[in-house]
Amino acid sequence: MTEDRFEQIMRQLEVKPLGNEERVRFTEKLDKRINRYQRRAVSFYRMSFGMGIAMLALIAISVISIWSSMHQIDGDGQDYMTELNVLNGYYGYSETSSDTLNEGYVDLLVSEYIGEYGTSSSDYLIGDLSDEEIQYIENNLDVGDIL
Amino acid sequence: MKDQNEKELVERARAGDRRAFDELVKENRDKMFALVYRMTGNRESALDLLQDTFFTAFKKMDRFRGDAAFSSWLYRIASNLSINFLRRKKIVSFLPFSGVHEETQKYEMTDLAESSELMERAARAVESLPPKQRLVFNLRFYEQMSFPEIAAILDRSESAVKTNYQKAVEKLRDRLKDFR
Repeated sequence: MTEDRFEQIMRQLEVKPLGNEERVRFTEKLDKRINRYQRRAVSFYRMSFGMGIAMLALIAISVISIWSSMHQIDGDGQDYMTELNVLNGYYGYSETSSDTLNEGYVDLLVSEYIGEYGTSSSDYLIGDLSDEEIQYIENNLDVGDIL
Repeated sequence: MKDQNEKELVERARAGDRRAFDELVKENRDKMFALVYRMTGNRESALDLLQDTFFTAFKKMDRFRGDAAFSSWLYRIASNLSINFLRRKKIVSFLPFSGVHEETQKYEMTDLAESSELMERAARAVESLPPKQRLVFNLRFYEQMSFPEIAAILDRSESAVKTNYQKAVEKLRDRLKDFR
């Protein structure tokens, strides 16, 4: 078979161009596919954006809650220490002082106790007696007589 | 002028202009259909491949650098899809009860001057070529592309493409040797 003959035969294998119906079908299908792809792409971006926002909110809430709980511990501790310092200052007691009570501290507690519960007449009476009078009472007062 | 127009359309399509893309589809639709039809030998499959070609082009529009003509890029996509189609079909045809072997692939032939038997034989001869040889033959013989162009589209060396073409022609001639 000559080259020309071969070419002549092969050239006759023509492709029938797209018909109107095929063209419309192709265009419709392609449009549908592209629109669906674009919608999916948009919804994916929207979903990613939404997820991003939700993640950020979650992170923000976590950070705030961690920060606030830490702050609360600090605050409570601070309040407690402040109260303690006030009391210590009031009572003249500090962490550096020894654990044994000093006289001034005891006097203060006693006077505070007296101030709180009031003083009885006997307190005043005893307080008014002189040393000699007390000595006399000790020597001559018999508890049985009183009872 | 045409090239300039195509460049503008490509730029607009890349920027997301759907009308520009539709214009590009309209410009290249028939050329691409001819190739995929010659590769599949079936109008429905060819329409599906045509759709896949333009859909892939739409999705990957941002990857088109514009170094070559837009149609060359489309030919490349269509060629790859056609080769994959034929490979898949070959694999599926081996499966029992696939039904593919029952499908008759016929070339659409218009204005036949020769006997139907000769044309039938010629069509069968083209169909029997291995996918790559068939593709190279179609691009060279029917789309009238140069070997360097085909080599660029298929990402192969020019000599490999020439060899593919020569082998394809030899096989076709051999299968048509009974006809004068």
